[in-house]
Amino acid sequence: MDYALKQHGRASIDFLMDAMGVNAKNLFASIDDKAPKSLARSLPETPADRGDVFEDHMRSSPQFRLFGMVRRWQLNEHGRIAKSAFDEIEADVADQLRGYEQGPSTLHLDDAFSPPEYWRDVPWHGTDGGWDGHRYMGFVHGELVFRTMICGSMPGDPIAQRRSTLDALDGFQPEKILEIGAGSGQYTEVLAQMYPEADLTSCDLSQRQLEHAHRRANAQGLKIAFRQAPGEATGLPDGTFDLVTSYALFHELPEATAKAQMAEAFRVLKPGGWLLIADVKAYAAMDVFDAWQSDFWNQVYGDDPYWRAHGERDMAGLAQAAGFSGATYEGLGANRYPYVLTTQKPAS
Amino acid sequence: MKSFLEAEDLDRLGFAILNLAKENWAVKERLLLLEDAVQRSGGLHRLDLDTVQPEGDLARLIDTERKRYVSSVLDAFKKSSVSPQLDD
Repeated sequence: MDYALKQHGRASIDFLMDAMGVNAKNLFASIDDKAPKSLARSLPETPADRGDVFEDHMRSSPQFRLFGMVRRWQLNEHGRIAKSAFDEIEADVADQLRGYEQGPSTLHLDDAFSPPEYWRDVPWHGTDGGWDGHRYMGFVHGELVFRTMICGSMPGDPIAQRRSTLDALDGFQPEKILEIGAGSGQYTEVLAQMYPEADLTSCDLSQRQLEHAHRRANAQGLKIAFRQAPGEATGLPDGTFDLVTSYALFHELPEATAKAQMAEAFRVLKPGGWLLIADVKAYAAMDVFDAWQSDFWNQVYGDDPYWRAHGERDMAGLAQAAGFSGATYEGLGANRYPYVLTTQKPAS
Repeated sequence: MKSFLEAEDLDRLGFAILNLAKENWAVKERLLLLEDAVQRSGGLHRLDLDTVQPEGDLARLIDTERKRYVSSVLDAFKKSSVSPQLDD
């Protein structure tokens, strides 16, 4: 995408990113060598009860209270700032975006689509209005939030993480791939680049995210079939795909939907086909303090209603219950991130 | 005299301050750009500051100033607080 933000939008985004960076340094400089390890000795069983103990303790720190306030501001405002920055350049980029609606990729939107209850109107990760919260929400999230704010501030390289996740397939070369949860097309593009000969289909619930994923694919000359459909009812034929995969989707799914998506993946995979699901770290992979932080900043104060469910989810058990065999669920790459489920549909 | 704002309003007050700070930064940065551009061109009439993409020394100056500015806003919170008690 070829665009340049106007001064106000660019400066606002820079400010937001620096506010988080300086804020985090203030907090972590104060807790790095003073983490309340003494609390970890006798903690309640559940994350919610443990959270109360940690929160009560941490709130005695002014740095913590400041961090929490600024983080909530960032969560509340980042979507609005990104939308405002886009609105300033919409007239400049509108023709370009319309031009990318034509190209080798296809987009099938479902006129009768009715979003599931668990997804409708949820401000995921503080998105302003949810994944369809702006007529160009795909651009707003994909370019300004993900590519600018997240890639510019998160540790590691989120695109490289998506690429290296596919190492878990150990050289397997799928001919037909189904991605569940295209979003704005960031992992979709990695799949298309890693398997240029494969036939790639990508589903999502969000019309606005799909529209942008479609534009990004066309801009790069990639041939991808995008379709608006839930991952638990794709409408695709039985036994079609060699690989079903998703990245950063399952933490947005309630338990029943996660189970249903595993079952759907099993149905559309060919015998011997692979399922690869990459997402955030399992709570079990963290010490109790880090697990509390993950829970607190995302489940409790992060507009991620199913974060805890996923953090505690038995992904390998779900896969086994759906009929898969040989499931592994482990952290890949630096700092054991992302966490990846790899499993296969039995060959017979 | 009892204050009008309650403890539960503090986060919202913080949000408002940060929004003000953000807007103030946008103006401050704009002035830096303006000063630089005026110095280079000798006039204002052909300027379009919205499209200026700072580079080189100017970009570094803006980055340094922004970080200093952000720290000055957040430090104000720290200075008014008691020392941290993070471990027992």
